[in-house]
Amino acid sequence: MASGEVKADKVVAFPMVLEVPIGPQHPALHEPLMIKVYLDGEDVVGAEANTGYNHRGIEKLCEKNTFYKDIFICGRVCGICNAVHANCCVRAFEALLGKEPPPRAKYLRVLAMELERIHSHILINAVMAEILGYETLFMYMMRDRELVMKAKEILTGCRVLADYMMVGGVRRDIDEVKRDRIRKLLDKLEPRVKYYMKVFEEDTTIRKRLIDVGKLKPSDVIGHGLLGPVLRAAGFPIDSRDYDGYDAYREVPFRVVTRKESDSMARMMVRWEETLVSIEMCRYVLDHLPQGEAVPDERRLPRRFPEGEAFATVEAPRGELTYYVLSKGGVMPYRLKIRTPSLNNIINGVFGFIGYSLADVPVILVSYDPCISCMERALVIDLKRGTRKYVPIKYLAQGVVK
Amino acid sequence: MGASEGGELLDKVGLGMLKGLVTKAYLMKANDRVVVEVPNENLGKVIEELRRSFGKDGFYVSTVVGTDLIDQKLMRVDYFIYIAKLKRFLVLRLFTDRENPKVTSLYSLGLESAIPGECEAHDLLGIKFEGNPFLKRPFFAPEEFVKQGIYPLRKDVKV
Amino acid sequence: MSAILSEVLKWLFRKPVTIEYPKEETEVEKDARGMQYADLSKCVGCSLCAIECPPKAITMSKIPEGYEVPKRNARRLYPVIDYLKCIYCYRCVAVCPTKAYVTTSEYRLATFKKPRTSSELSLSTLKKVSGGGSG
Repeated sequence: MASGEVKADKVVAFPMVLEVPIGPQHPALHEPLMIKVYLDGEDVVGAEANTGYNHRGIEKLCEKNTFYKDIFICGRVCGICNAVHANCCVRAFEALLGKEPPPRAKYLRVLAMELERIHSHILINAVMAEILGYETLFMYMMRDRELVMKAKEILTGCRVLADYMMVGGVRRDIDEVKRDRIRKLLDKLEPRVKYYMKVFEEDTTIRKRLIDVGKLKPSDVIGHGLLGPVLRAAGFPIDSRDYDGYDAYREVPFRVVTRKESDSMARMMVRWEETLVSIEMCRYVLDHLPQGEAVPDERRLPRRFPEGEAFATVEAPRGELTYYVLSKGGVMPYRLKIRTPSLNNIINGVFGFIGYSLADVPVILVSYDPCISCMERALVIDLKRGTRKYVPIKYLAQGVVK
Repeated sequence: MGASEGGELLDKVGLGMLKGLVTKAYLMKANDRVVVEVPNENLGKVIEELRRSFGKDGFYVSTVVGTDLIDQKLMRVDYFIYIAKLKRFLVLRLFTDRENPKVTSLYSLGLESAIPGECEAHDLLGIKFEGNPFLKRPFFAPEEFVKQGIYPLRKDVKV
Repeated sequence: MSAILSEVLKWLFRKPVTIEYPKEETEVEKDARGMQYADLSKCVGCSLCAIECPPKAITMSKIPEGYEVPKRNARRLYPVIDYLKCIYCYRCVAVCPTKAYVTTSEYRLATFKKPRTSSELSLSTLKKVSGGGSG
């Protein structure tokens, strides 16, 4: 052995874990959320989610406003799923009052909610294409989503925020001309949705990045309380429209879409199939609208609500959304609790990252469909300028709704 | 077991196995939600009975609601559980003292689906869930509240 | 092989679908929820719209001198909507007991001078009385 040369026959390796924060501001996320992933090389071995960047104090605000103002406040929790939030709020109030809306109003509510489901599913699939780097596909899908936004504008009066639900019915009615226009838009939309579904199934890039990524065991999925398409892609036929049967869902035929593989590809395909089912339901509603009144006279609705409590659920595009209202008489609710599906999906869903590489983390996160402003319902302003201001909630509570 | 109509209600909906463990059972107004009031020490046994009847994969915790009943000096915690086989919600209602609110956590009984709801109730109302290691203060509330140690959703806090 | 190649080739030589907004107009429905103002020939000054407005964007102010006000508006009050606070939910339109609100589909309401209110539009629905106010 020459001097200075060492022969080793054992090597000791120290495993080191690197902590990588994703967010709060990140190009892969659309809203602020801090996910810390712990990496060994490129594989994820641990993950946790920190929240609190987007809290707006809506539950406290709702206790200081009358019941009718709360319908508008709750409709502004989320921009993408605002019709379902308002619908759940209104149904909880109707349960307190003991009122039932007329049949025509029930069908129109179903139409508004299904149009929202279509545009939300197209949006999340477009976001998935964007995350993979497939910007052309993203642009094509957004162009076709404009047809749905036009249909929403014809029905409710505004492309995004449909203030459509009111205690006792809906706020606007449709006539023959509008019905034909919405039908024509749906006829233009259906072949495009079928084409995009085929693209997702056949394209090599998408298949390589989505199949077998984020595979979750079914007992983990229901044990951790994940909801919506994530649950249905694991084989459980649990759908709030099926077990609660609110509004006209017992009369409009639909089927619950499930898949067995429970990976990211299955979750996106569940959403595409649900879009096709929704288009069928919209057509059925437009063809079978019952006659009668749909719009209640808002001046004659009672101001004071009786005592009681109510719990209403609705199937938002992201999962099961629940509202709990407790009223002690009077004009304002005593407690209003909103539990959005993104709360369970994001915070409990971080165990799905473990075992996959770092590049799969945005794909898995987007396949859960995170809607972080839905999740937190509190306030952060001015992220675009890079500054963060904490507005004291007393300014919010004076009635400026954000 | 309290009033006898509570027992009949539980049998009718298929939850008769809980009869000996709850103090009251009634229907929430106008909605068909079955509410049972459970004393804090029986919570573990109730969950075991549910597991035995419906299997570990047969139900999940949907919502955790904390209410501040300032007039009665109590805090109330409602666990909304969805049971897949009966297609029905079951509400477990627990009362605890307002000065030092403490409740057994469902996470310690094996239900991970309760974690986000319990974290939120702890952050906004101050209820301690024993056995839940994930409770931490700046979860939703902004940092000024955490520094002053106040819980924003309580009725005596003016924001 | 990319599955959307046929689609890309089809659109390669066509005009883009972007609507270049300031030069071209976007198509808006005639009954979309846009700017609204009160028609003072029907308003009775009851303040229900101000009470029911969720973001509290409506304030009641006195009608200035020189306008002829109908008899049913005894207190001479009229609602002034601050368009930068309004959320266009149309609760005021629905709650008015005399259906006094006029709705338009005007949505281009961004402005440099604040506040921007409905005061001129509402007052333009009243006739002016020339030479010294009456009542």
